[in-house]
Amino acid sequence: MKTLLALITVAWVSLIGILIAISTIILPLAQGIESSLAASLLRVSLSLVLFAVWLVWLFELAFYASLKSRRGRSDQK
Amino acid sequence: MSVTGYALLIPLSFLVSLALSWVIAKHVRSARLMGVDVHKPDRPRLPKIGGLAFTASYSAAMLLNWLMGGGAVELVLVISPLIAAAIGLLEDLRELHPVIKPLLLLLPGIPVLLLSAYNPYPVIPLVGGIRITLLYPLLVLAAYTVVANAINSVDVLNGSLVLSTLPVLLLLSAVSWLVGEEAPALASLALGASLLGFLKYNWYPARVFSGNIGSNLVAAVITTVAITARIEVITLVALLPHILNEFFIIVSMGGLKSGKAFAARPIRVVRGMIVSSPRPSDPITLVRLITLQNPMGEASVSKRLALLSVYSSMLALITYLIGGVRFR
Repeated sequence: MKTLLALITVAWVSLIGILIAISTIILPLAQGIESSLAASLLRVSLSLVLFAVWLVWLFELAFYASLKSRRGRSDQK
Repeated sequence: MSVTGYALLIPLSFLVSLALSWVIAKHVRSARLMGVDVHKPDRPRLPKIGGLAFTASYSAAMLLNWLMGGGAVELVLVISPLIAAAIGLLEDLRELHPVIKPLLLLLPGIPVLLLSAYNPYPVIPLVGGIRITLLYPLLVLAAYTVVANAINSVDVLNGSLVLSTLPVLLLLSAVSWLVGEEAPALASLALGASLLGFLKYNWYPARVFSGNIGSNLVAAVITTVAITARIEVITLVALLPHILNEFFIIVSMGGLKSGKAFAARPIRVVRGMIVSSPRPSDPITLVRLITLQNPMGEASVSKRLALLSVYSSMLALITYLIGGVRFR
């Protein structure tokens, strides 16, 4: 149960980190571009890349949980 | 919607759901509509369309709400969940291909797009309003199928669907009300009340299952509320246990596959207790991880799923509060 609460917490903290990164890095970066279309494309594409990174991170968490599960069972044996 | 309206529709949802759940538990005996409760030693056969009870009570309440002067948002809060429930009923009656099902679950998003009941400028906590006019409609369609699969993946034990989604619905109702969106707030409460009525017959030892009709309806209501109240990220955080569970399953099974096609099971039942599977190659699920250290009774596992949902709903509330400075 502790592992699951920790997994949810890590997933949430990393999501908040991504939102902060979008707010403090990507949006100011796009503001420096004169063409509004290019700025919009940059904002959306970089935000999507970050979101994809978060999804990959969730997959990594799933693998971690899977490894923990296997180790837990072999410890019991 | 006045306070009197709330006071009328919410108890109505509860009572209608309670009465219909009793009718289904007592009278449905058709072999086609029965499922086996595999976690009980005697493996009883139970009606598997119990979700019809809260689908009817929720839809009746929200239809009344729309008839009392509702607009597009009130209408999609009836239509989209009904389409999702119909797809669920179809799956309860006949096995759907694991690739066809996600495609069919794109359909509930269509009324949202046709009635323009969405805003392509979502408000992201800590970021503010963003403009994604081309991408947002695609995300609307995809959201229904992702959320439906995630919620369906947790509906595996007596009471687990209700206990794991009630905290999310209460959270969505509170946040919808805080951002000034009354119809989604009412929809969340109406469904919560309906689920409570159903829980009397679905709690351990269950007399009725919710079925895909039930889990699809719950998923579609949550998705429609998130879109119409513009609280997409808050909903994502509240649903983290469900989403993680779906990820665990996809990762450990190597893609989108029907669970019924696999002989491998994440858990076993030994003398009425749920035990985590000893085979490393078996699918990873929340239930397997919860029972990893100690075998547990079915009701205890459902309560722990509820605890995870309460925790993620609290994180969702914190997300709303810390993002509140730039929210709205």
